[in-house]
Formats: sequence, C-alpha cells, structure tokens
Amino acid sequence: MLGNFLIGLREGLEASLVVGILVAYLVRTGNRRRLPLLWTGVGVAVALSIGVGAALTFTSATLSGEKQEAFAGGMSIFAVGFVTWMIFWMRRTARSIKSDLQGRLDTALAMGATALVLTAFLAVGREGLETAVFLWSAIQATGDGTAPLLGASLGLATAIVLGWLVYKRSVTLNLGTFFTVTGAALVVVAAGVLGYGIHDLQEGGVLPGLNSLAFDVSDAVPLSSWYGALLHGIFGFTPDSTWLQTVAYGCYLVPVMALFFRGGKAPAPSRQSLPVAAR
Amino acid sequence: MRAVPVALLTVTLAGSLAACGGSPAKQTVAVTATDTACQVADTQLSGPGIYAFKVTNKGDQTTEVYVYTHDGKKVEEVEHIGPGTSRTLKAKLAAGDYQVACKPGEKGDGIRTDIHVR
Repeated sequence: MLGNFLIGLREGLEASLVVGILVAYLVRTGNRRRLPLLWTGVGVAVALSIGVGAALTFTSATLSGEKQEAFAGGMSIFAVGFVTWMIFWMRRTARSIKSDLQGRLDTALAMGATALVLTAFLAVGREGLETAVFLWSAIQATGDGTAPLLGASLGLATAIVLGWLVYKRSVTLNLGTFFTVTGAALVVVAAGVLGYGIHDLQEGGVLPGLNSLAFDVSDAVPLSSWYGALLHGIFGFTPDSTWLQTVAYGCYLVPVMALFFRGGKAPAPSRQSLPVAAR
Repeated sequence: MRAVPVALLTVTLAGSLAACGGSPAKQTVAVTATDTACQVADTQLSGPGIYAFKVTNKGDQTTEVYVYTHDGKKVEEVEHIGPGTSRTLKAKLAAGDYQVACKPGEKGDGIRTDIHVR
C-alpha cells in the first residue's frame, strides 16, 4: 500500500501545489470570479487523462512508452513556458494593484486569464495521463485486494490536501510577501518541471544523452522512498539526472530567479514601497 | 482559449493512439515481478510480432519493466507499477535476442532475463 501511496503523492503533488498557488493568487488579487475558469482548466485535464487512461487500459489501444514520454516531455516544456509567464504576470499585476491603475490591471487580467487556464490545464494534464493509467491499474487490481486502490487514492488525496494547505497558508501572508514567496516557489517548481521534461524527451528518444548521467543517487534517495517522492513532487528532483537535464535546470533556475528578484526592485524608487521585494 | 491546448492534446493523443492503436498482440507473456525476482513465463518466443508482457508486481516496492535489445537499447518500458497491480507492456519484436528487466524500487539496471524471438 505504501508504494502506491507514494506514487499517488509524487504524481499529484506538483500539480496540486501549482493549482493551490494559482487559486491563492486569484483570491488575493480579488479575482474570485475567475476561479471557475481555473477549475475548468483543471477539470478538462482530469477528464481527458481519465478518459484516455481508460481507453489505454480497457481497449487494445496502446501508446508506446516512447510516445508517452515524448508527449509528457512536450507538455512539460509548454507548462514551464506558461508558468514563467504567470510568474512575471503576477509580479506586474502586483505592482498595478499597488498603484491602483485599474485600466492596467484589467489589461493584465485579460491577457493573464488565458495563461491562467492554460497553466492550470498543463500543470494537471502533464503527468495526468500517467497517473490515470496508474489509477486504472489499481482499480483493475481490486479483484485481488483493495490495498493498491486505497494507497493510490490516499496518496492523491494527500497531495491535494498539501496543495490546499499551501493555499490556506499563503492567503494569510501580507501581499508583498505573498507575491515573493509564491513567485519564487513557482520558479523552483518550473525549473524541476523543465528538468524532467527534458529527461522525458530523452527517454522518448527526442533528445540525446539519456545515458550520460550527471549524478546518480538513486541508492541513497530512491524515488520510491517518501523523501524521494516529496523531493520529486516539489523540486522535480530526479535521483539519476542526466547532464542535459541538470544543465537545463540550472540554466533556467539561476537567471529566472535573478530576474525575478532584480526585476522586482528596478522600477520603484525605494525598497520600502515595493510590493514584490518586501523581504 | 481552452480550445487550443485541448485540441493540441487530443490531436497528439489521437495520433499516437492511431499509430499503434488496436494492434492485437501475437502472444501474452506473463511477467511476475517481486522485490528480488523477475520471472518471465516464456523466454523462447515464436516469430516476430507484437508481444504483450503482462507484468504483475507481487513485491512491496514499486517497480518498472523494460525490454532491451541485446546491445542494451530500450525497446519499450512501463513505469510506476505499484505493489499488487498489473500493467501490460506491448513491444514489437523482430527475430533476435532481447532482455526483460524488472527494476524494483524504480532504480538501477534491474533484474534481467534473456529472451529469444525465433
């Protein structure tokens, strides 16, 4: 049961964290009315994953491992693009709110709503198919016992609860801290998604270098351990990372994080009045 | 606005499914994986074609199963096979030598079994 619990947790956690932050973001910026849009993005991704997962499980249709990896990898790269867009859009909006420029805020929201739905969709849909196939296999196994299904469901539920806790905790932060913390968190999550997106593309045969590993700590930190699962879900940590994956991770994380903090401080005259760089 | 990614996803998946969808397997080969063993029910396969390896994880750890060519190139894989669950790996095999590898704990080179397609 523990094994299935950890798969559910690992696969669900990152999507849950991203969605939790997006919901908190909408609530904090007074855009509750846009929540249905976000849930639509999530719902469509879940429905599609479950539907296609069922087709793969119960019909003779198959999706080769390579195609599935290439698909997940491609979705990951898209997701990173949209999350990055969201991060900088959030910061821009934060400033608009602070300066009460309603017109500018509306423009930003009109643009951002699209990004928001796509981000929610991609965050869930990216690993959704793999998770759905896994869930269906647990359902199929109920003839031999309900432990796998119970474990898988509890794992996913735990991931959702953690996402909800992130939401609950982050809405209590002051606005400046909120934007800094959630933005920085999203940069870290996105770097991880990019890293294993690249790894997926390597597994799918789209990119070379699958066997040139930068490091392999899978004996010390196996993905099937609870800490491996948490590290994977939050930071996109892969115990056996390829060079390409590691370089992509660093080349995203360092400049984007630098831009996020530097850019936040640039346009305003003094540090104290800044919404983003409140820390 | 939602139509774009949804269409993209649908088209990609439909294309992928169509690419090898519906192709019935020539034979189903049972693979029983545990934390320390990887039993392949049939290692001498008769003739090229699509084989379905039905992997049942009877261990306590999550496992994954790969089929490799004799020179170590991956043919197919199935990841995230939870304890107590089964997954089917379909692989199109030409005549020749292959290896089936179970990787309990989803790590390492795996427990390998040689198989031969006549």
